[in-house]
Amino acid sequence: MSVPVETAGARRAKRWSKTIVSHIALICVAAAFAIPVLALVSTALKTLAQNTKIPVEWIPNPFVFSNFVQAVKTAPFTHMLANTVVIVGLEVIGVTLSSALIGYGFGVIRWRGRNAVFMLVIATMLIPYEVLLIPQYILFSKFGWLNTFYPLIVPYFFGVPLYIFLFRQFFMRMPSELGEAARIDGASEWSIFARVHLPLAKPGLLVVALLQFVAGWNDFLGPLIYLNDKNLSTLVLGMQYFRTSQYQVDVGGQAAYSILVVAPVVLIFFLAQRRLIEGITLTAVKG
Amino acid sequence: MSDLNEARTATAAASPGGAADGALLAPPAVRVSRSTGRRRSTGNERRMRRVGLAFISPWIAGFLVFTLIPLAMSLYYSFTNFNGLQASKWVGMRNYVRIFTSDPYVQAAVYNTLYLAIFGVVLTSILSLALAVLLNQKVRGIGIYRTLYYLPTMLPVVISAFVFTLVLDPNTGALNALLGLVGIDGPTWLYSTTWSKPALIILGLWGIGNSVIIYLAGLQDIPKYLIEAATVDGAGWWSRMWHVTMPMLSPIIFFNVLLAVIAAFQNFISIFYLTASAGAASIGGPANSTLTWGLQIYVSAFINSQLGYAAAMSWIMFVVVLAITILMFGLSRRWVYYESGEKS
Repeated sequence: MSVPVETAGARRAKRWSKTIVSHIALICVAAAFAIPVLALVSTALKTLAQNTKIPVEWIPNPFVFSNFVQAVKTAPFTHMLANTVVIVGLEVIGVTLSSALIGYGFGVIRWRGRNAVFMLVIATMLIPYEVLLIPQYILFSKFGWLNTFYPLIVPYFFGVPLYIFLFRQFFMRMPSELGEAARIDGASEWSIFARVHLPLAKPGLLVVALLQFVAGWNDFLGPLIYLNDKNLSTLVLGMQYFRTSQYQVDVGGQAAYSILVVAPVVLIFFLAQRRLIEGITLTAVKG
Repeated sequence: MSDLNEARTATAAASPGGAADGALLAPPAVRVSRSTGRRRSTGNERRMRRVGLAFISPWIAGFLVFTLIPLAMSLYYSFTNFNGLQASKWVGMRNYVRIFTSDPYVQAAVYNTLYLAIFGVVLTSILSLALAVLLNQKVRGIGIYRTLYYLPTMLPVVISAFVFTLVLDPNTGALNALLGLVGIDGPTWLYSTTWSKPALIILGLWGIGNSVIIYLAGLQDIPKYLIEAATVDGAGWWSRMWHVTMPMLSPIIFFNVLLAVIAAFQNFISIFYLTASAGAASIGGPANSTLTWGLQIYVSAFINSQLGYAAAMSWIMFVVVLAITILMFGLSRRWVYYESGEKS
């Protein structure tokens, strides 16, 4: 060893200074990420007068909770919650089952041409959604689906490329002899899928269900285009109801409402953090 | 639960004898066709293809109805004056000619889209990679940091946009308050033609958690022995970073940059919401300084009801994004390193 000519003490000091520097960097960046969240919470806990006061009171004095009451009243909260739950629930059921089925067709069943077709599935992810937005709108209006939940739900029963990809990866890692015993017993391919592979794919089903729950809960564009009737509004669409005049917005009420809308997603994220992150990284790293 | 148990016993039964039986039953059919060298499908192959197609049939149906037919429709409408109400009339290349010659918004839209794509992608890529390297250490409380960085990506786009109307407010916003602490008189951000685009980039940076997590997973996938070997050979931190970590990470850098470029071209919802709700209340404002190609497509289609014209704009975007993707794949051969020489 020719390079390190350091005493143990110098090395330890160096390591210490390194951890301190990286901690300071991590804390600064974490603060930068946290500030917008803190600003949101602070706004939600102040009255309109407190919110427009200059210099700004960063810590609400006193804390007010009336914004949360106002938020639920201004927007028909429970009604929108029910709409959102129906839409997202059906999306989740549709997309997990269909994507699992399709992913199985690409990952387990061996057939000539499957890789070429799979490339086509992946290629569709490159189509900008702006291109499909207009013709899909026209198509759904011809179906008479404007101001119904159908345009938001039905497409999910035909699989989503990203999730098909996830399930394909998931099924491909299962041993190929898994279905053989059942096959010899004369079980159909369908029942091998439903009774052997699908129950083993529960972690994958969970990841896809969670990803779609978050995506569906957070969707703004779909409801904005297809649901003009206020009775059909979803929670995220309800963000529009806090404008009191052309130039005036009930900032505190909107901030409180934002927190209420985001809360379930954040809760689920905390509960299923590891699973979700695994699912996300699986698509990128283990491709 | 009973299903799972059943499956477990099925697995157990399958693994010892099943594999051998499978080897006897399935492959010979394939081998026969290979040995004769002809591409004639055997009965078994045909059956498996039927089964495979049956399993993916929902995708095929969905692809036809929700992708292929809409694509054809949008191409057709791009040559018409369709406005959603009256019957459309074929206008030939007129929409495309108008986009390239006389649309007063196109120049601003191209400039703003490229500005946001170039600066946004460069900044997000560098910062998310740096953050991932920072997080890839044995530091106490790393889970908390990871959660904090990732949290913003879980929020709906409109809510993050709303949060940034608070943070970027020239008078009461936290950003200008922080700049004031170091003696900088902050700009008016969303109300300024110069600073509205940087403001959008800052909002984008808040949501880099996704790519940080992907880089982090990539970093943790690099075999330890490679880095140890480099250390033994006397390589310093920078040298290890440049000659070991970066080449090993290059496929993931490529994946992330590609996604960021595609997203940068498509993103318009946050801009739509920010500029429609900020006091200026002009979509793409102030003075068209945040009008992007994607936003102009939305405005043309759903606010001005020029669906045919918007379809033409969307096809131009599609072609450009496709060209950039192909170009990036072409260039990637020069700098992306694939372990075992296999392209993923």
